[in-house]
Amino acid sequence: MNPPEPRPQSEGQLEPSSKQRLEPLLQRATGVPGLFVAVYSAVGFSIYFALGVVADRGLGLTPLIFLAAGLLFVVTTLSYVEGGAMLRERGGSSSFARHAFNELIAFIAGWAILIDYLIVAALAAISVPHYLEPISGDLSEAGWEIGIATAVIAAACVLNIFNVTGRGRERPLAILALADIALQLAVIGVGVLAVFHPDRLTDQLHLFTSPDFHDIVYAAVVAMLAYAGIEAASDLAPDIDVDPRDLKRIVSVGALAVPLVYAGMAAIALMAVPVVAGPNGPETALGHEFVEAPVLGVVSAYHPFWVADGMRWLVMLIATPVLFWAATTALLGVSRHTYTLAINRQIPSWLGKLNSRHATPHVAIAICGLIAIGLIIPTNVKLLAGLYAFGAMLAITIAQLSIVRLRVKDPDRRRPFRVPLDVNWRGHRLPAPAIFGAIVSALAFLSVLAYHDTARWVGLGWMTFGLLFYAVYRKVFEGTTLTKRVSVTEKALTKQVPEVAFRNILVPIFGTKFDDDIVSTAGRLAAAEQEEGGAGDEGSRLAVVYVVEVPLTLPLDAELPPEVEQGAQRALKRASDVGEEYEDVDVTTEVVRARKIGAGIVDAARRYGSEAIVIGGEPPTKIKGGAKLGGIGAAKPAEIGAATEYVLKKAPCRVLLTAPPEAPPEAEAEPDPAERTATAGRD
Amino acid sequence: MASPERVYRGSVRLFSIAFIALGLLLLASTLANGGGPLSVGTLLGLAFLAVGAGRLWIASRT
Repeated sequence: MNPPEPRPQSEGQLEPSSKQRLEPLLQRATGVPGLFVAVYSAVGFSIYFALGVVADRGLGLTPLIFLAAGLLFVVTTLSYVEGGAMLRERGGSSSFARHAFNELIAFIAGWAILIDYLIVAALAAISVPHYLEPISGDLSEAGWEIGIATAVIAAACVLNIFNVTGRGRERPLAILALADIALQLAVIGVGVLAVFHPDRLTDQLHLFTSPDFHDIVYAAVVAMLAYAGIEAASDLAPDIDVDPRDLKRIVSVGALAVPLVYAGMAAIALMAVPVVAGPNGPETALGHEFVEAPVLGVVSAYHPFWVADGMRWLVMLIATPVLFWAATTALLGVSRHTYTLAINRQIPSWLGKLNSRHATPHVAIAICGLIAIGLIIPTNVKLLAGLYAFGAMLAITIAQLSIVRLRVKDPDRRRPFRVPLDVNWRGHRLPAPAIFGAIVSALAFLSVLAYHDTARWVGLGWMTFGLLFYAVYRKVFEGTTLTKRVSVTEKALTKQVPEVAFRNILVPIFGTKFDDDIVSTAGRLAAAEQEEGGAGDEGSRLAVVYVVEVPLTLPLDAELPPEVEQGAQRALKRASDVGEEYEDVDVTTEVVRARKIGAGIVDAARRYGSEAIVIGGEPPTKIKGGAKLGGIGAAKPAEIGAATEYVLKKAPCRVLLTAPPEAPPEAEAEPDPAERTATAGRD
Repeated sequence: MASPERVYRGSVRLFSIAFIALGLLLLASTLANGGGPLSVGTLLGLAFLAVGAGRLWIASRT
């Protein structure tokens, strides 16, 4: 197994603590089984909603259309594997374009892919209630449909925010993936035995009339929906350590198997739910009645009845968790994708900000979850499929062109996997499959613009909005060009909550009845730290200080009046006794001489290297006015005294302020013990 | 409990055999229903056979 390669510099170097926090995002999956599970989770589900929309327009040619789209899938996979293995970065087509072209092209690809992730999540969620129909037919009614689909998206968002992804759950996911493959093969195998009538594929087939040329092209483009997840799979590039030979092995046969299974399922589907003459020409119920749950529709047509019934339950049991996990995976793709856009300053960094606890971009996930729910509400699978094709074809075209250009721009870069079948052009070895894929996907993109009105306007609207947003953000807020690469570090996207340690606490006392409470508070904090093991072997320490204000007319080391000296020692002795009531907490005491009490406390905190100061806020001075009356300095705060204010402003560590309640006039001379606490200080 | 690598290898062999079996089933059903050499059933059957056998061959070499 190859050792992990160093991470790209653009993602920054992290301090150990930060690195540890971000570990879930960066951890690597290893080995071929891990790769299989991860890739299958991203790719193997879409037949459950793609079959209906393709059959709606492709009719009897649907199996061949899946094979044709599978050809584009194979060449696309080859390019993505070359790019992903070479760059070891998240972002798929966007990342390739960044290296091959510039940030603007990278943004166009990234923005297109963003809507595709949301569409896949929405489609998977919409399909879930329909695949639950064996439990109750009511679940596919409009109210339940939207409710369940929304719940699926919400649950997927929560899982992603809490970083409950496939990592560390390879075993159950492997079981789910194997069950899914077995189900798809079973649908074909049982279908061959139950409904095998090849003539049904061609009964209503009149080539270039029904389906006509537009329908064939449209269905072929939409069929790429069945291969949704290439981008999500390529996002795994930096996570995976696989021997290049294993990579070739998986790509060589694995990429062929998926289109073949889909074509086989499509063939059986159109034998089970055949094309029939309808009022508007030939049609299949797969594109209408069963469009949200086509595989369930297929097995419902099996006979005898008990076979159909058994298969319906089997499909429900496997397809539902597969689709739920597909929605989760799509939102994981969203989170990784927005994070990549954010660190490259293509969207504001607050959108990609990582949760300090789970290292997930919670803001982006929540916003994208809301957009996905918005896409669910029309419950229009065909519209979403068309829109998906818009984004997918654009991104795939950019990805293929990027791979070709990188062969020219950076031919010597190490490529663990190379797209085969090179052609020589001006001394460069260009990958013929990628060139072919670029041409086909560009034509497919143009066909979406030409033939799909809704996708054209919604897709162009999405891209226009994105480009305007990008231009304003880069020009106005970033003050940079649209094409220049600018990166921020991972650390900058993670707002680290500073951990407050209480191993070494400074406790200033003033010889009032307040002192016991202050020392007790500090003692409890230090003891708790000791119990949690945060103090290490040395134990927790309280440094109790009594600050004596020495007038400027006297030297700092001048002899103190006996009553002041005795008062200080008495207060410190009392504080020491209180502090030592706490087990394993060392208490030291000191009389500190300073010109100002606040300055003495801050200086002591520095000397002791204190991690926190626990202080009782002295009452504010009754002398009002300050500068207003010709005094020195600004007006004093109404809540606290000058010493406390100074400490809060200047302390080199956290300050835990224990303040007395507002005293009644007669009790002002002897303030009651603290009842309120507040924290302040510097991080 | 078997290692993930072993489970993966076992699954690859199992599904390769399933592909071959499906290919044979498709071919037999197509021929039984009067399908010709260029019918969808024949083409799919051969493709399933090829992919199943190919994957099994690759698995046996590693």
